[in-house]
Amino acid sequence: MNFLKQLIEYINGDFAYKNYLKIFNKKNCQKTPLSKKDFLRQKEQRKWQKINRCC
Amino acid sequence: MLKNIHKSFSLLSWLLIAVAGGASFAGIALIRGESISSLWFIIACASFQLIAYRFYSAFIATKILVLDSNLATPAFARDDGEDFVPTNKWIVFGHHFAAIAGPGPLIGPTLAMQFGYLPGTIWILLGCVLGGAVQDMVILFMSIRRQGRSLGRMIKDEISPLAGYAALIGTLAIVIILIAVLGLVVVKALMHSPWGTFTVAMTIPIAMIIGCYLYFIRPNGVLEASIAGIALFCLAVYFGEVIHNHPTLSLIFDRSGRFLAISVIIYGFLAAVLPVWLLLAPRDYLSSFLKLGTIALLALALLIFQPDIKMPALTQFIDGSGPIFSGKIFPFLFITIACGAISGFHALVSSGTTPKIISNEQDVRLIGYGSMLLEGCVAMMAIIAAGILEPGIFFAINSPSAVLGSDPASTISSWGYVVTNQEVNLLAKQMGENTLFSRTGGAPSLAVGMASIFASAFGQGMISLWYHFAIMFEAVFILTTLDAGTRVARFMLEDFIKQVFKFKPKNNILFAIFTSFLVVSAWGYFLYIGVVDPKGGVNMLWPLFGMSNQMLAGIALAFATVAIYHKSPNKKYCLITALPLAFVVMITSWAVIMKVSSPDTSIGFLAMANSVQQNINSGLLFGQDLELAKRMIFNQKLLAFLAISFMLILWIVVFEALREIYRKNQKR
Repeated sequence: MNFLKQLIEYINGDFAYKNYLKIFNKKNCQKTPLSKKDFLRQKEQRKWQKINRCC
Repeated sequence: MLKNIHKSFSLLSWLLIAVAGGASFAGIALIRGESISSLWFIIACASFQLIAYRFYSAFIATKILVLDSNLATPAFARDDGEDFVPTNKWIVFGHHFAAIAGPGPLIGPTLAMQFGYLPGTIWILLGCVLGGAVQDMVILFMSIRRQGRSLGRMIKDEISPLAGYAALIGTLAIVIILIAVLGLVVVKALMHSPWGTFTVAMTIPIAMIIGCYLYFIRPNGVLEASIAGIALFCLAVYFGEVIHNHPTLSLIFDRSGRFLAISVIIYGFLAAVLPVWLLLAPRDYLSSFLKLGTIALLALALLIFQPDIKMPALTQFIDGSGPIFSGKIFPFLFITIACGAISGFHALVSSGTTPKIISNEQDVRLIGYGSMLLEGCVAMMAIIAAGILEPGIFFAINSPSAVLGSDPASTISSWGYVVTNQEVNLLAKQMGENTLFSRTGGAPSLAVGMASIFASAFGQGMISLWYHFAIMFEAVFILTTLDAGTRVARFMLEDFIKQVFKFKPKNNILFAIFTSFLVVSAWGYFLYIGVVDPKGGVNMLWPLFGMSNQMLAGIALAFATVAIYHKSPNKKYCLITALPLAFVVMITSWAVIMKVSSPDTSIGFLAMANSVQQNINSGLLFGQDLELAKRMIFNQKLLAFLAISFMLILWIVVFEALREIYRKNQKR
């Protein structure tokens, strides 16, 4: 059950955003973190600049 | 006491697995009859892989790489919440498998069935456990120990800058050839197929709708959007039948190879320059779920149905006279089946995202070695799907029209595989296709095989729907690889131009359009010459793809050998990558030499060019025919040049790797 929850969170991007916020808060900088929407949009953009689909 | 019982039980279990595997393999190799059950293949593959995973990968993990769960992986050491994120091992496994498993392990084994089922089966079983899985696991480990660095960077840092540049050019070349050959497979599968063309065309607006939903409405609604998208894909398959039966609409979607090739080229260009959220990302979500789901469904159907393999163990085409591609088993089997046995492209994924998200070094065994074994299983499923077809039907679908001539059934029957025109036409009607003769490229015969398996396991009434579902499944993830490959090649080219020419673009959008145009023109050219080739293009482009993929495997294995040699106290351990490297270098060089210099015009590029030149010299060609002949000579010489370049790139990296080993030894 726990794995299923993790999987759904991973697929939906909630897992990535949680991690982003965790690291962002650790850095303790004054800036405002990105919204979930903006973060996921940027993540998508980064993903497709690298090889992640094979033959 | 309990420990001893457990040990004895474990020993007995592995002994049973070994006996079952050995017996099944002996059955596959020795049974010569009308047909053989696919269960033999399933048991042989499962036993072989289980033993390899349990013992060989454990040996590599503990003795050679010495995996250490106490060491922080880059995901922990550099946890940045963006690229480096510790992730659950089964999620990383799924992520890695979805990344490495493309259309290659389905298409290559299908084409290689012209030799019979035995050569492909042996190569997939051995190549996967001794070559491909070792390469993937070692490169993944090396990248983890080097903060998630890419293969190119590791080669540049640890072998030489020259080897690094050679690897970069090799990577760009393989991406271009890969896209061209995959585009060819899609075009050949959809040529004059209104049902298939409609279904695949519909996947583009469906992906865009899903993209808009995820961008504007719910960015974290991937799961629900993907389920809805796949349901819409299935509806597109269903309504394809209406198009197929409609007198006017069927004509709109009944398109020639040239038209479809140009459409694919335009599509590739748009996918590379449009924002990723609109087309590429949603299509990838849909294709990933569809890919994993269909593979699981196929495995389930095979276990339920256990169809008989009708293709003989060996055909007469082992002598090199095959209708699908020319050339003998050695070396051509080993470049026809790359993915599924050993695929260099995997090294790019193993040194890409995966090393950045693994949370425990011990998981390298499951993710690196295990994922490749699963890809080997996919390749075995492709062997079974092609093998269940009557050999006559298999050759009718996969042989180009130039080989089959005006009376295809008689030609195939003369090879000893009896088939009638009525049988093939009836099958085409059942599948909802206009014809199944000369539907080269591997995808249609794989779809017929998959449809037969699905229909036998889940209901015969829907066989045409299953066929078009299979075509849609293949086309969707081929097009995803095409989109993603074009975009990545564009970025690689941009970096290359910026670095080499010290160029800083003033307008990034114009620069992106320019580089996308260059990349699409490069693969589009090869796609087009493949489509207009009278022999179907597969004989020309697939070996080139196989050679480039094995070249990259050679590059990755050369680096792995150097890294193990330097790291391991026992230098002999580097043989685990050095032996596959020696094999890959030999097979690739042999194939390149054959493809370039063979006097046989169906194999040698230059022999074909000379033959056309003789036709021109004889003065029999005029006007358009003369122009076509001149272009054909240029194309054959271009292909020969590319093949030689692949071999030289491989040799440069291997030479530099040997030099590095020698240099380090001198220092000691």
